[in-house]
Amino acid sequence: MGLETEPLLQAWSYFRRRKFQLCADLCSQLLEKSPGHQEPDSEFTVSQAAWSLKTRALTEMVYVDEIDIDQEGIAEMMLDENAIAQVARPGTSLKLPGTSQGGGPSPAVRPVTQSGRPVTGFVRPSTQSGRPGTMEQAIRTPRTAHTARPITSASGRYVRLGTALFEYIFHHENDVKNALDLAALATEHAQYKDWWWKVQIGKCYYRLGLYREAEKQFKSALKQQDMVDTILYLAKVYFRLDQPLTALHLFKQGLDRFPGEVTLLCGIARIYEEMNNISLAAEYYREVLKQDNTHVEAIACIGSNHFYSDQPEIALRFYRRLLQMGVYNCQLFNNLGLCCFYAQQYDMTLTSLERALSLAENEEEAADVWYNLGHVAVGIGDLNLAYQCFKLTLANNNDHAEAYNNLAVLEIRRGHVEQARALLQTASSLAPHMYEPHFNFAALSDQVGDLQRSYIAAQKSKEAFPGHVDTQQLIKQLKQHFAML
Amino acid sequence: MSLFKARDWWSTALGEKEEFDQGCLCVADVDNSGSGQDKITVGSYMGYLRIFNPHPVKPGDGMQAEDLLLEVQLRDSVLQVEVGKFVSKLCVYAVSGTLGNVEHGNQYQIKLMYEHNLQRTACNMTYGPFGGVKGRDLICIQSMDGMLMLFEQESYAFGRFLPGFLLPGPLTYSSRTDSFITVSSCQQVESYKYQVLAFATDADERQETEQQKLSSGKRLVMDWVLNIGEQALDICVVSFNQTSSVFVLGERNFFCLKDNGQIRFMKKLDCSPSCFLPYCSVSEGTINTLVGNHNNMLHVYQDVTLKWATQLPHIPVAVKVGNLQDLKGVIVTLSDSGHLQCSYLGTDPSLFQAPKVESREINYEELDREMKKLQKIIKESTKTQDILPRSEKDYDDLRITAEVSPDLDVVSQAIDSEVRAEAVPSVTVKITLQSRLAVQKTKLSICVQPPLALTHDQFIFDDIESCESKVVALSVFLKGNCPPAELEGSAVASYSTPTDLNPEGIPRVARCKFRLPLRLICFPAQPSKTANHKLTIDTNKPPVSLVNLFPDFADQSDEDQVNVLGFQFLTGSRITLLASKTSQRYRIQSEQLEDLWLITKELTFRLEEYFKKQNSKDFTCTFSGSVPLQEYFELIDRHFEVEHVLALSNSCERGAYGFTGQVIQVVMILCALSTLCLWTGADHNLALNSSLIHIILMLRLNAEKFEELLSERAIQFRAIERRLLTRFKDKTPAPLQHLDTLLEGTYRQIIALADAAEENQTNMFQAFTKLKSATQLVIMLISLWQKLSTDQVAILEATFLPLMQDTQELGWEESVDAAISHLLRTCLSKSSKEQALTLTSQLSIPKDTSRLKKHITLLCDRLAKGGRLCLSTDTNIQQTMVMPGGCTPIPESDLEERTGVQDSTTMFTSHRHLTKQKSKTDFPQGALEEAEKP
Repeated sequence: MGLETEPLLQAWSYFRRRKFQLCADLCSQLLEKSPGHQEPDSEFTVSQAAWSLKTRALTEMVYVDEIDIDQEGIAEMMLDENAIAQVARPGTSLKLPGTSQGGGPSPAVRPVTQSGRPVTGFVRPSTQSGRPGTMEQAIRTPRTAHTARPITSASGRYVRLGTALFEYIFHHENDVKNALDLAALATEHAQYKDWWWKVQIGKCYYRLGLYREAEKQFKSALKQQDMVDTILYLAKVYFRLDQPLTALHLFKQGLDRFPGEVTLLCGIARIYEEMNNISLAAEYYREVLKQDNTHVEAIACIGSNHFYSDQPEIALRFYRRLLQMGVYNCQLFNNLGLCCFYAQQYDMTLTSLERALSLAENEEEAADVWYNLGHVAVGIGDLNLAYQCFKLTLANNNDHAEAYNNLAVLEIRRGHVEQARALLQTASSLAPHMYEPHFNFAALSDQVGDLQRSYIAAQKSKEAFPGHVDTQQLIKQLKQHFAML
Repeated sequence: MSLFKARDWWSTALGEKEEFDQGCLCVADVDNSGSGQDKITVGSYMGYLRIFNPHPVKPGDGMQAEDLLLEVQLRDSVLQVEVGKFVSKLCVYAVSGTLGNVEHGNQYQIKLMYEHNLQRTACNMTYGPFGGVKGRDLICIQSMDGMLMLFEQESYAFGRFLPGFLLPGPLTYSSRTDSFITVSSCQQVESYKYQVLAFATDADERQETEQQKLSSGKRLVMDWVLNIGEQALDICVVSFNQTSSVFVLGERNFFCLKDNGQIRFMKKLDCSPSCFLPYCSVSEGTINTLVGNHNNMLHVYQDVTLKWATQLPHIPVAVKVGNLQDLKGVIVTLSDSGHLQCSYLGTDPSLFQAPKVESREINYEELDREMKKLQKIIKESTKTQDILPRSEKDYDDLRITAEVSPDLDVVSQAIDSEVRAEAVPSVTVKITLQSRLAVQKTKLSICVQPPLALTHDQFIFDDIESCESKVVALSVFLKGNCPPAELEGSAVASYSTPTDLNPEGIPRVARCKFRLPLRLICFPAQPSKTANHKLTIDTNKPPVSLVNLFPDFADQSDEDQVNVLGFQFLTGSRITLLASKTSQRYRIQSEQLEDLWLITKELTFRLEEYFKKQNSKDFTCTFSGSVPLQEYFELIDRHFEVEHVLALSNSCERGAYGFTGQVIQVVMILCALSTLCLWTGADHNLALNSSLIHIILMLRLNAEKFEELLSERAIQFRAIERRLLTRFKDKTPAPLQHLDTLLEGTYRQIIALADAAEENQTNMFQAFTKLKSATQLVIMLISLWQKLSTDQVAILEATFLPLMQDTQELGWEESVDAAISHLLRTCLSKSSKEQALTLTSQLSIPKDTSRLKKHITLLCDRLAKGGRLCLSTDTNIQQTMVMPGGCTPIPESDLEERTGVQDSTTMFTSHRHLTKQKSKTDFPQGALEEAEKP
């Protein structure tokens, strides 16, 4: 059945319908055909067209929006000289968390990441977090499955990544240098009037870590033609240069040109969140939702904000919305379960968490769910269950510092001081940024009379969370003790 | 992601295995009924043309027979269907040469009005009143090779090639500006005036040459161009209130352009769109757009604001809006595979039905019972401290046996041996794999401890059939220039046994050990009378002739050898074995302590074998030497240490240049000192052992120094590199100021340091091998001396030889120290006080060995006084062993007085833990890996 359609037309149609494999196969067939089959004068363009279509199809197969993928490799982090000021004024840098005046939440309320920034509700790439001070430190920092960074981002981690030729080289071959050469020639050919090539050069420079040059290209492109993507790229450069305020300014300018553009709004919200200014971030996320009320990131972030500001009922509504929208994964049910628990809807808590457990795709997720189940168990006073939950967490994820800490607390209650001590030490070596293990260790050492260790640990705890009252008290007490001696 | 789904009003599936694309759907009043009711016309690539007039009895109905007004099969594929004022009404346009224009009569018959045979492969078309013609529409067809062909009703008007054409893009006609708008493959939106097209040089003469084509193309001037930076899927013109806007749907954005090609607004789309349809919205000055995407969603945007999102049952390739059966604004969507649906927006929640979690009737009693059972199991298992489950069955699906040939290879297989001997012998080992079942993915690996080496160490067999056996042969020889610490090797085979449920197979392991002959590393030599180190082993049986014991070393004819036998290692050192003629004793003597081990081990082994053959069961060896600690040796140690640290610091101060030589010197001094120390050490094994320990420690400290220096140089290197890089990046190159020389110098230093570090590592390895030998000897002596059971020996071995390799991060000293102090604290503890001692929190290189030595001494002491080694849990905590007094307490036990329980501050459990949402679902997996913990 069926009529013979012209293969090139068929391939073109496949491409439009995003059946890239079929399209590429068809193009290959077309190209393999001996040229004699085609009319001599038209043959040239047909094979050219087929080539072009094939590269486009292959590129689309691996295409990832360049704006969204970004992970700084260790080498980039260490050899980065682009930061303007090593010691930035408060509120102008992303590298110094807690310098913002916006009054971020305290780590006692909301957990923080390695660099002391509150966790957000959404997995997103490239934060300037966790920048270790030196190369040596970077390499030696305990790296778990979660924190493994690529050594350098040029090492081909963008696995899923002519105009067509450029994109092919850039995305499919990941050969930035050649792509740059091509783009440079092309832009020269276009007499520097083609903004698109400038953006491409900028992208290459960005990949090569030449941020200043990238900035120049993007700016020049923006002068020629306002484009949302160009603004996003430029903001990314500023972000990498640790100039969040410039990036904010740029976004706001972009919003004047493209009012209500969701990606720009979202970018602003992300920056505010990175700068610990949660309230402004939430405001912009709301703005995002006004424009696009199905925006998952915004809903999730607002939800988690509510959760951590002790409004689990409201957070629950946001998460329920996500569920209604068809998000169906382990994380969501986990969050739902927690919200239910803190909103005292105990009947739903266990079912949600149970479901989360059944949906867990990997061991890390399962570990997180077990960890939260452990929390619930602690909350209802079933310490045996809690103990087993935390054990299971560790069985699933050996690097779960929080679980180590909580297990240690349970062990202290059981009177197993030695084990508790070992667990706390493990926890603090796995996650030096958490103050809890340090403090617990200090308190424990203080109890058994090991004042020296207690003092050291308390200092560490203070470093991680300067505002912690109990730590301060403990240090004061210890100092008194030492003074008496 | 949406809350609601599109409400199904009427839907049907068209044909089987037919393909549809963008142009295949058209909604219009085809039959001129005048009732304002639209009909749906669908064409397929297979050449079917269908017209539907859906009137469902109630919403959600399927297709009824009378809904299908017409179905015809045409000779060619239908690429695009349009309805317009072409003399007649319907135009069917097909690939490879037919353009049919047909009328559709009342009897629902299709009538061919006219057809054009096209010379070129057509791609898509547009129609409109080109040039301002009133009352009728003209057709413009774009061919695959970039020619616009214009038809005026039945007649062909003219054709023009588009300049710079590669692949066709979407095409539309804007009546306000009277121009054709397309998106070329240069990612530009281009607009051509109809006038310009009409007056450009005729490009349609078949005879023209390539050059003329190009020149004719050049004359075709664009009205305006806009670079949008991406390919377009569709283009559409909407006009209202005297203005018209051009909508372009790109692959990632959609744009709204003004008449003159400026961007009015643009919108970045989250996921790949598949089709769109702009239409005038109710509110003033805005335009609504329907955008379908590849996530089965249909979004309704008012300008850039998302107004509605709805779930569709398929990916739409075309979307239209029509008035069907008095229902205005029905959304008609067509999928790739021919699913045609008419739907309307409603608040029917697209409730995602989460699959039910498997639940069973809860029987509380049963649950309680099960819970109790499980709790019991957990309790049991925590008591025994056994984490690994023991296999209940003995799986020997695969048996592995190793056979060492009794004789050395005639032609030695040794390659690349570093031993400085005339001939390095090798011995063949035959390994047989015998499988009972069919097994898969079998890999055999054989290992021996370096400095021994193998000619082959890995064999891969894919599948072994049941009852099949495989034999491999390989040779073992001595590679490194020091005697090995043990003469055992092991062969391990990993394989998997497939089962019905698990075709991948369950991975299993089989292993066996083999013993290598002593002849591999030593040969008979003249016995020597004098030696520094002597060991005496007592037995409870009459002495055996050495000729019988060591037939492979003794010359049968030589009478002397009944009592005395000499061995020489390939590496040079000599050992002499003496058997007493009268008493039941054997003496082993040598210049170096560690060399004694292999021979002693061999002797006891052979003795046991010998007596086993004789069927006497109660044969035992004993060792009655004393292991006292004498301050004298401590003095030597201290002296030695001071010397060493001095030498080391001297060499380090001199920096990196010529460091290699220094280190070697240090090592030489060290070795000299240690031999000195060994020499004076005579029979007192422990002290000697400790000096060996000392050497290793020093080497490790060396290594640490090296590492520091290396990192220092590396930092310097990077700093220089950075400076150079900034120089090179500068637009105006500055002079290098000898930075390159500095770079090279630093590079040389790094290389030299790395070489030195490597050398150090080799030395360390050798020293460690020696230490292993000596330690094994000590273990053996202790066990013989105290007549320890095999369990206890195993514990002792685990204590003293925890590591296969000595590394910088975790070394032998600290791990042994930790193990010994654990033993001292638990099963060998003297009082409950000692049990309370805490371990040092971290294992790090100790500053000196005195602590370790003290602990070892203490261990021997306690063992001598009747301490028993056992590790069961009960003894772990409760048991207090009352030892006879006289033992010194562990030195650093300065446990502070426990302060009474203080006013304890609260223990914080860690914060609760909210995991994050995964990123957008359409993200390719693996592209985003969060680097932080949730």
